[in-house]
Amino acid sequence: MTNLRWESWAAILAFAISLVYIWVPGPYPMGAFTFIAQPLFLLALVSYSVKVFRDLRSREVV
Amino acid sequence: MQLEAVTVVRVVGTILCLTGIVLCYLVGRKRFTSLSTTRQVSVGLAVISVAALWKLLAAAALFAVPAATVGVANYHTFEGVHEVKACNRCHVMTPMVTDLYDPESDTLAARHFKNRWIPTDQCYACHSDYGLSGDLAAKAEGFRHLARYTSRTYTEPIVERGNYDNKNCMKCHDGMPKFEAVASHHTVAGELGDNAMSCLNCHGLAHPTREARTPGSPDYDRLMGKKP
Repeated sequence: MTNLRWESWAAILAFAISLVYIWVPGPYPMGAFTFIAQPLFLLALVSYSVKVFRDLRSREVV
Repeated sequence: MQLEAVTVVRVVGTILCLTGIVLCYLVGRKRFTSLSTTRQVSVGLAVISVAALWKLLAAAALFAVPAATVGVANYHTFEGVHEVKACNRCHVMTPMVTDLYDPESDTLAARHFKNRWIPTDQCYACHSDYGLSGDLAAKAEGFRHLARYTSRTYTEPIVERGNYDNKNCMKCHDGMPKFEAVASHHTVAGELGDNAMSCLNCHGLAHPTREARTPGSPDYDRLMGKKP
């Protein structure tokens, strides 16, 4: 499998935003969580899934 | 000792976020192309290759822990928005909340509050339609409000989109002896059911007028909680 560098940094940013939102639930942290953190988690997951799928295909598992 | 839900959410959410940050940091620095598939490590009862271990950690960092974090944070959102103080965090709602708590006010919202007709979560009780789909619609509308507020694409005073659904009133009042005893309620039952007529037509304003909520108006500073 190839490296997961940008996916990890995207998820770290999303975790940091989520942590702020959990402790300071104002409108701007809520907006950042809803419109930035959740899409970042999704992007990281999609990219990770694509890499896993390619890895499995290269080994002829799928 | 009884823990409040918000405390549990904060503790669990913090543990998840910190775990996720550490895992992602480690996974992000790891070179997956050079991992050994022959070297074995012991993980509890299982013995797996180093490559398999890091792939499991990557799955945890980019799928399992984020999924749990999103679940906890969304629970935090959906439960938190029931509270009046959650509405009041956006300053455009402050005139409504100030009026709600004003014992001198005769708006419908203030009367419902001071007479304890709705003991808790007063905003949510009247502004989410009854039933599951109604609650989801209220959530979707909440996200639209959030986008407008955080992008500052709104103007004061805010104006309700569409018409207020009488079902929000009827879910409590319909069938109550005091409601049924009023003859005109039976006369206009059809119009009330179809939303062709608003409960507010006879029962007065629910909140302060748009004029009072307009910045610069004589009532604006008082409604915003500013001292004269």
